[in-house]
Amino acid sequence: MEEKNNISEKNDQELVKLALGNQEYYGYLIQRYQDKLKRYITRLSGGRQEDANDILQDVFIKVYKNLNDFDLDLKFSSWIYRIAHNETITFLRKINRRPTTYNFELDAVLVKNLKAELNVDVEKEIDQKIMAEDVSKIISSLDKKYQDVLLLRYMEDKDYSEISDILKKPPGTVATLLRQAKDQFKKEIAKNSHFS
Amino acid sequence: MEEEKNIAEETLKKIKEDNIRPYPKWCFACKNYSFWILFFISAFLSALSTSVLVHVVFEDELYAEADDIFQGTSPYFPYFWLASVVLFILFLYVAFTKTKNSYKFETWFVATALILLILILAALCWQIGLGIVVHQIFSP
Repeated sequence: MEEKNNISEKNDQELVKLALGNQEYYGYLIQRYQDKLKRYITRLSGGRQEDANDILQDVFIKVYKNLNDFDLDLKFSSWIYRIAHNETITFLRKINRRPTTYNFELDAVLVKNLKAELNVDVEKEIDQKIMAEDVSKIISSLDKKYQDVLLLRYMEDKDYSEISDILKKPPGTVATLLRQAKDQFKKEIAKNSHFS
Repeated sequence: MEEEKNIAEETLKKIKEDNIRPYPKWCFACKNYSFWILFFISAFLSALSTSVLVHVVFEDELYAEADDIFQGTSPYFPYFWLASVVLFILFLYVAFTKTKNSYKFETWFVATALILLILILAALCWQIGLGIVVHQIFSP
């Protein structure tokens, strides 16, 4: 009981160990990740809110069943994101609907991250030349492999090593994909600015 | 917010009602050990096939006497052992890519490491004469 009072001070690994002994602790892990994962799943599934809850519950149950397989060398967040990613893709495949694009809504986080990383003043560009939805369109027009890394890097704020763990790609490949995605994005944004 | 709270509650309720438990640790350990045992048995068989192949090509008199040994059409060419080496290497590669941490390595690195492993094991098999023994067992 004393431990339950200090729950916010516990890291994920400690909560996993506690959840293995008492499932009530698993509830705290769910609370910690439900918002982030729901947002991620919604984006992956192309914005379908109704599917996100079903997938999310399946993700949490799958994670619970496999808690003993969790590798403590890995970040728990990377592991749970990986399961969420795979479950979403499997779900979409099952219902024969793999979205061709993800749901890239131009929110404050995306603008801030794109601005910092790409050295492009996205807000200015949007105000003067292109509409917000064009940025979403540009990102959506990129290859799926680029969208995967962009989504995790700029919308979920994951670093290279986490993206590598989530997508199960070598860190070098992730870095290459991100660089190519950024180059393509810059080219497209320049093209759009030129024509408007 | 209410809906989000429900997801946590509903999930915990489902876990309790369906009496869902985490799979025991030994299940994963067994799976893991079985995999690596199978992996090394396959690596050994692949190395053994390689050593038989090397023995036939470089040491077998019947094969050496054939005129068209470098044409690749000799009836004495050990196609079976060559196929066996290729299949085992492919199997080992695919099996390795299914392991937990395989994604951290580039394809060229995995392929090179596997070929080196097979060559080292094959050299050992050849050195202790296993290649000759296996060839004699399978020879008519």
